[in-house]
Amino acid sequence: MRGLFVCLALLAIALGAFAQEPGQAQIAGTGWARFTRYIKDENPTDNSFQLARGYFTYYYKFSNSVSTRFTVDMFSDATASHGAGLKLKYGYLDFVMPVKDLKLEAGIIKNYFGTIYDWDYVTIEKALDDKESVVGSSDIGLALAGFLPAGWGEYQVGMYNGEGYNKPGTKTDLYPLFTANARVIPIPGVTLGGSVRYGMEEDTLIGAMLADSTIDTTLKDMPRMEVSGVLRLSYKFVDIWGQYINKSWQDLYPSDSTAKFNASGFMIMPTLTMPVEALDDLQLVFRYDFWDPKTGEDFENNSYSRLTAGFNYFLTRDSGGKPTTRVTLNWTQKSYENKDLADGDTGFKKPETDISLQLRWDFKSNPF
Amino acid sequence: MSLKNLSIIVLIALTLCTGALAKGEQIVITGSTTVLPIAQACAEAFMDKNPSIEVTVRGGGSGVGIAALIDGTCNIAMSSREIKSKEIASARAKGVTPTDNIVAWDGIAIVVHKDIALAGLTMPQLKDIFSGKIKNWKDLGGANKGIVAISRDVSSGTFEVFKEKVLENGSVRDDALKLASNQAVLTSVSSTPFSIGYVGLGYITDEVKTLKINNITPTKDSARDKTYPIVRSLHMFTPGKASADAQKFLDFVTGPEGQKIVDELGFVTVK
Repeated sequence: MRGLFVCLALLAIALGAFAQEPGQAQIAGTGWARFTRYIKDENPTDNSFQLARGYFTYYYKFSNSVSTRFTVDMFSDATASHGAGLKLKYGYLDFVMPVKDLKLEAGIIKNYFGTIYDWDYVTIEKALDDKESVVGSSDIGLALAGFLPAGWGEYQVGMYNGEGYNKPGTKTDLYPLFTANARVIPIPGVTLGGSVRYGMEEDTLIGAMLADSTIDTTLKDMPRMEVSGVLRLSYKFVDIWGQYINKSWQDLYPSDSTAKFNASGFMIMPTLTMPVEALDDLQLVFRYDFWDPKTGEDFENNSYSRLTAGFNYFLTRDSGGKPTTRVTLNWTQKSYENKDLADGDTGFKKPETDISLQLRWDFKSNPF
Repeated sequence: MSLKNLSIIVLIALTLCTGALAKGEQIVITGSTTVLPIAQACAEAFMDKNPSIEVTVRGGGSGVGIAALIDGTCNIAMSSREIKSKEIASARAKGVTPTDNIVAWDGIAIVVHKDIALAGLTMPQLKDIFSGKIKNWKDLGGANKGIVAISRDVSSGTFEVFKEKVLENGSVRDDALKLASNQAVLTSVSSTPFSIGYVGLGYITDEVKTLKINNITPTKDSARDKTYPIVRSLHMFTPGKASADAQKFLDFVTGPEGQKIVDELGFVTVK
């Protein structure tokens, strides 16, 4: 099914390239090559060199009010028969609405939540909401996306399938997931953002799996909700991103009871672009993540923190100053909570460290 | 990497920060190819009077200039169109408030090859030609010859204004030749029989025939009093309050000497 979907997308791309409708087409691409050295307990455990993934994007403008975008995500996959995989990352139509600066997107679209929809990989690691699978970076759905007047910010409301682009069609339910997101810039350099996603999903409890014949297979609709707050402070050479995420859901338990769960965390990421002319292609990056996957007394010692330090060096830029090739070096240390545990105790988790060097390149053709 | 090594990185970063004060003043101007000749001519005259200030001028198009302003890679962005809501939002998020300075006005003149007998067109006729509805000069009372439409590429501010004012945000015909500069359009129209194109007022020469639009000849006067229907403002945006040297340059451009250059280049002065 997925193969058919990708084939249809490629066919649409090919048709678009020869379309007779007025308009323009454009291609773009992104690639990442990465070397990582993993260290645990101060001893190297593993090295890896990989061309992690690449994006190929095709834009076509059917008219001034209708355009399309397809982005194919190509990635290394040892389990695939040819050692690589292919997924459709984005595939949507954009319709310009009669309201100024408002458009409707339909298809596999961006997930307008938290920082995931405009994450630019300042660090090699994904955005926290992506890393912890709170949301996928894209999903099948519909969204209205617009800008507030006079540069006061942006807003989006959407209705999604809720499963993310990684597993389209693997799970179907009756319920769409509703999303609302807004970023407001009350004064230049200060951005306040908030996102909320809410929906129901089917949760299944199978008595046989619990080895209890007295429990029937049960299916029940359970609510889920994700919220995020975003703060960005930017002044000249300093840019600081902060994000808080909370995910709450309910699982079905025996005897038709339910249990409520919470997962939450935050990220803070300051960057500094060198204010010295000779070094203005160098950007220093620091990032601190905290994530507690399940809060509550029964789930202690699951939380962790991750500290990242490193830099980006921009090798080339386009005529507008946007980086087109960059080298990124990141040192990362992940430390676990280990509450009431000492080194050597059962369950004690030692910090994990890795150093990654990445080369990234982006290109975009002129419209043709 | 130990905490000690991390501290060294932080220390180096803070040390480099202090170098900000040592950065010398240089005015970098990027953007619209329409505004480019004004900026280049003014920069030369300005540097003659202010030899200690270096002014670097680059083209690229209005969109490129505004992107550079947002990213902090230029001091002044040239644009032949208004700034968009998305661009203002991106700029404000990065702590930049684009400040608009109108430095000149420009009319977009419709030029045809000299073999065209027509003296003028109406705005609806012009729209029909560039949208592809009218494809033969005979439909306009001319020879039975196909119309060769020459347009600008989509990154051009001239194209965006033409699209808005003439095409009413419709699409340009698919078979139109799309060129990268005013000069390229002018050269192509002058050498291609039965062709039609559009250029900034300052680019009109005797090599082509300039058409009246709605019976109004495109001149500086008709552009200034807005009787000519295809008129636009030319902008230089600064990131908030301009630096002292950038402001000095803008004062020069909008002052008597700069406006004299604007006039000599065929554009319409703001004063």
